[in-house]
Amino acid sequence: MRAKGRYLMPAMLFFLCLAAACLCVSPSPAEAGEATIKIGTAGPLTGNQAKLGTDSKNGVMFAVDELNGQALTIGGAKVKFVVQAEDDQADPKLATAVAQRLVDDKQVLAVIGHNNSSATIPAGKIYDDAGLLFITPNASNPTVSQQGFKNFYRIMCTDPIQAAKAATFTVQKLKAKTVVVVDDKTQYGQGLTDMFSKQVERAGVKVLAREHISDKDSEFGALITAIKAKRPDVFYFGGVYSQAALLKKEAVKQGMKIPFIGGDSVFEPDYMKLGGDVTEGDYATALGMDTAKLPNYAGFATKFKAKYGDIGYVVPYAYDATMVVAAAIKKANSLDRKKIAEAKKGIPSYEGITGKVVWDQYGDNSNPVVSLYQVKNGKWVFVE
Amino acid sequence: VIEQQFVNGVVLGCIYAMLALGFSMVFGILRLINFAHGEVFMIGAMVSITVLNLLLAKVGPSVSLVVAGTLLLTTMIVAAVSCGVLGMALERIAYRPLRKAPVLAPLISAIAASIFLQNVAMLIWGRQYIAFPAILPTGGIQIGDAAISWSGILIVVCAPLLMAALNQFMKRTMIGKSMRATSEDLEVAAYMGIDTDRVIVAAFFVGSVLAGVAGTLVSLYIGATNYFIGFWAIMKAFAAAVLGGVGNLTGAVLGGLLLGLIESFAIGFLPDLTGGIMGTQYKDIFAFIVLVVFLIFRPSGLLGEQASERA
Repeated sequence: MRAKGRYLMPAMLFFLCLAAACLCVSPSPAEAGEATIKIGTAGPLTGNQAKLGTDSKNGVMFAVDELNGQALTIGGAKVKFVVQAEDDQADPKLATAVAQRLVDDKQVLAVIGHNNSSATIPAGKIYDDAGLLFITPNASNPTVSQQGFKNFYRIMCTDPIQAAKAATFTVQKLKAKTVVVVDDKTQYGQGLTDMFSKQVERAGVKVLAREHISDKDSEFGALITAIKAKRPDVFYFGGVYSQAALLKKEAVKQGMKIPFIGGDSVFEPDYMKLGGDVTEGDYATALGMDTAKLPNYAGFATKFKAKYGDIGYVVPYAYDATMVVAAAIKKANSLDRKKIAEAKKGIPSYEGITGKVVWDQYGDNSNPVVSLYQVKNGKWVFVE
Repeated sequence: VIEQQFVNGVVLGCIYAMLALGFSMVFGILRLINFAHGEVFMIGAMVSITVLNLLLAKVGPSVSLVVAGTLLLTTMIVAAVSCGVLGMALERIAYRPLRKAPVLAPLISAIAASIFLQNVAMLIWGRQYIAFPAILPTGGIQIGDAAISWSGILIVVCAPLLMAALNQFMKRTMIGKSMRATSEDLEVAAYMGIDTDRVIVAAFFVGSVLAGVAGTLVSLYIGATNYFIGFWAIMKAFAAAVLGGVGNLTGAVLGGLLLGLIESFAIGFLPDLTGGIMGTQYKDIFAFIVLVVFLIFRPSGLLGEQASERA
């Protein structure tokens, strides 16, 4: 009996602490008559793509703050928007776990995510089965919309036009005869390089090598040596800016001086921050219009920067995605997941910060715009 | 191309060797697989970037080569000492309380320490890659067909110097000798009047100092670092140590160099040899193939665990 009592006390204390902790974590109860709408976000908040996910989450939070400022009423009740951020570490396995968590939380009415195509596909199945509306700001691999999802949409258009742009530029402007192609083995990177290779080969350009790196690598000495030996005219990379910068550094170190082209994940100011001078003259394609040409972008960027410091490429897309969700909720005038997803189908297009989005029956943006940029004096400058 | 891959391999090998040394030292004495060693290396890289940025803010961005060298040396020393202290703290907090515990307990504790340090680094330095300030001039020297950058040269010069210094330290100093004695047999060494606790702390300190220097050199060489490079490092260090014979310091150096060369040549020639079926993405499997092959056929490594040099 005494022995039992000795364990009982700490055990009880432990549970008390646990209960207290739970109470602290759970959001403060909504005011009387106020309903909470949780907008789920899922993307890499940790890991080497954490910047992407964090930028995306901040874009959603910025939108949610604005929505809360509007004091909306849905179904007769005042509503408060809350962001439920989940971290998938850009890992497909983890993506399904966080997707399940978001689906299980009945207050989550829509999800903005994921930021990686390889995470969006497995997670998407879970959202779709639960009838949950999910919009990815930037996952741009074409296969995502080929999964037969009913409640899926994207803001950014898909990669093929991006790869096509890079390929045309390589063939016509850079007049390349040979290229090497490197990807990071993600759905995004590999998709991009597949399409690029096909396109340039059709134009008679020889793909000398198709190499792959892991998205966790940082040492590329031997790879660059192998590539350099093939003497290509152009280097095309499908992957994220951090590894692009490291590859480029190594290439310059070994005296390789050829044009370097990347996709929209390279189109980040941090590419120059990390790579420094060696990035000068590099190219990147990006989906969407040049931000300087978007009428509402400048004002948005100023406000956003005042709050979060700097603005990443994905931010306005995440913002627009959130606003589309809000529009669907307003249209449904209900806090029911299925009704919201249904209401979204009645919104065929949306004019946001990033320009006009027109959705086709697969949820893809059928209003494709793509731009090409070059690094000049440490800044991305619009080329064509 | 062969020359260039050889240079790549040697640079890589020197890094692996430095990491494997610290790892092996601890293993030799405690039979502990110190998984947190990679994280110490990562912290070294992070600290060196922070320190160098602070120093550069004081001195100004454009510095002469002499000043750059001094700054780099200062940075390296700060990184090395902070890593040394971190290593000692790890020993005190994560390992010493478990010294009498079953073998698995310290291993789990090591993994926990590694996860903990990774997250601490993530909180302090953020999640993205951070750039190493461009302090050395770009370019380097050309030896025949091979280009080697100044940072690469620095690695190839520093690593052997440090290893020679370590060798002398183990042979000549009292603490080095007691380290060797302790690794022969901890209990007997204790009966002989050696303060084994002190020896263990010293082993952690020295090993971590090496990891700290490696951290500075690697981030200088690659040009950037982030919080998870430690995982990559420990895997390679582990493979290098097994290749050479865990606990054997000469073996660690040899294993590191060999692993670096194997990796470089494999990446360089595998795609062409296999007709493109196996590309450069198989780079990391070589470390593990080596690991598996040696664990099956020669678990004591190239030089064996019981060599007299072991420490």
